[in-house]
Amino acid sequence: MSLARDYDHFDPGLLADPYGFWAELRENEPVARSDHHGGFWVVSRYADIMQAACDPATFSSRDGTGTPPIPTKLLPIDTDPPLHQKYRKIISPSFTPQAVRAQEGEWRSLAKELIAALPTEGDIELCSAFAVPFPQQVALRMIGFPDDDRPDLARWIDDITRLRGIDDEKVAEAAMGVMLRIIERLEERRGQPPREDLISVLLEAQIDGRPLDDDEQLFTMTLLLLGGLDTTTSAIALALAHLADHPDDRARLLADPELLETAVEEFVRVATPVQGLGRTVTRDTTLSGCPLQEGDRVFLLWASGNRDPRAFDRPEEVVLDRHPNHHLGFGAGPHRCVGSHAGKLMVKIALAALLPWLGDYRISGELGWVGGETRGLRHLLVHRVNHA
Amino acid sequence: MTVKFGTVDFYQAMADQLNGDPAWPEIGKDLSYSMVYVFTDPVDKRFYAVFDLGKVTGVREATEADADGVDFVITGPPDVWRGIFEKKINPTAALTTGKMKVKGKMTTLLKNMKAFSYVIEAMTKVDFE
Repeated sequence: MSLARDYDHFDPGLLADPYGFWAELRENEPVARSDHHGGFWVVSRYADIMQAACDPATFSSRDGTGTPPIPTKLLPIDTDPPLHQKYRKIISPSFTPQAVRAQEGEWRSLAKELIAALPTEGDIELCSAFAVPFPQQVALRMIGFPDDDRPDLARWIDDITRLRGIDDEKVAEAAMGVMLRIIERLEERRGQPPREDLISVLLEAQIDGRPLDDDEQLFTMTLLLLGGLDTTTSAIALALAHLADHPDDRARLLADPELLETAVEEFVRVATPVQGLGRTVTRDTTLSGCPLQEGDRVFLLWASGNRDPRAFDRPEEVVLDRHPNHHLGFGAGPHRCVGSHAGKLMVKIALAALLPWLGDYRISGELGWVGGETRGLRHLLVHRVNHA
Repeated sequence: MTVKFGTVDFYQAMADQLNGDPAWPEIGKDLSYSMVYVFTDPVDKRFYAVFDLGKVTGVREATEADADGVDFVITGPPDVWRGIFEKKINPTAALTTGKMKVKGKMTTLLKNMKAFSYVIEAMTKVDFE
């Protein structure tokens, strides 16, 4: 019987501490069958995940990457090369290191505004006060949504991410909400002067010498929202939780801000905000000796690969200066997250702004985890030591 | 009149229902699309209808070729179709979970969601066995 037979990444029982189970899978059954969501193979070792992620001809994204399926097509990720590169090239210039650095000042100002609104006394819930709104506001501004859209969009994206296979009606309602809001915003902007955001990029984009059609714009915007609103939070929150418990690491970061470069990569590795993504097998093949048949679904468990001792020394530890750090926190292969530079810069800005303000701080209560496609902390209550 | 599930009579009854509905000309006034409804095995049938600016016309059994030329093809297993007609399955949830598949412009479908929902509502009013 497969070790993963009952495995479901939406299972609340696996939220806080899935690490032992992942280690067991890696050790004893690196490609294991789950009966959930129509059946899929869980791929848990770093090398196998890399092999599948870098072989889109055998492990295709064309039928979607969600397990269970995401309620709409997403571009560019629901395509394989060479079409994938054509769609990706449209949005990638907005996410280069230079492009995101150009927005660094604005993002720092936003971080400062959020910190200025934090309570100066008593407990502070850092997720709702900072780790959630900061990346959401940045992402929505980059895409071109007004700030007022954030509550609705955040709630809908949360439902799509966490409730698939659990509450289909709520997911359907959320998917409709997201897509109708996107269509509304696109319609408002048609014929208007372009702005410095992704809506304008999509409205002006061409593929094969023609403009993107309405559906292509919609599916790309949907991906930007799914990828942008509910991922970076996990890395920021995990970093803040770790640093609350590890004053030595906190002191090192405060004393040497350049250490943030490697530390951010390490927090992304340990947090792995997107636990894993799916692929469809296009021809009979094997992975770690496990036979896979055409049409099988596999789930590349990035989060387990990131803790594989075959790939990382002391994988369960946070090593602030880990280098090299070829983690899977942004996926791997041609579909590696297009927004990785933006995500890392947000984590860096968040820590650089928050740590001096927090000073010595400790966790005050139970950590609150959420799961699904993405996994991470969404409740982190802390108090500042030497503050009332 | 009771019609049989998975037959063209069902879609004709739906068309009659909408064409006799005084609200439909206004609600359906922007719909100008041809549709094929596909029932997979074991029914294995497909049905064609045209939504023409507040009228439903051209209801018939569809050919395989129809599916290539129409604006929308909605495909699902008979038990899911039946669940929708009996209001036991939410049609939007059926679409978003992949139990039903739509071929056609998603944006068009979404922009006309109110009218398309009204069509589904008409289907739930058909007396079938």
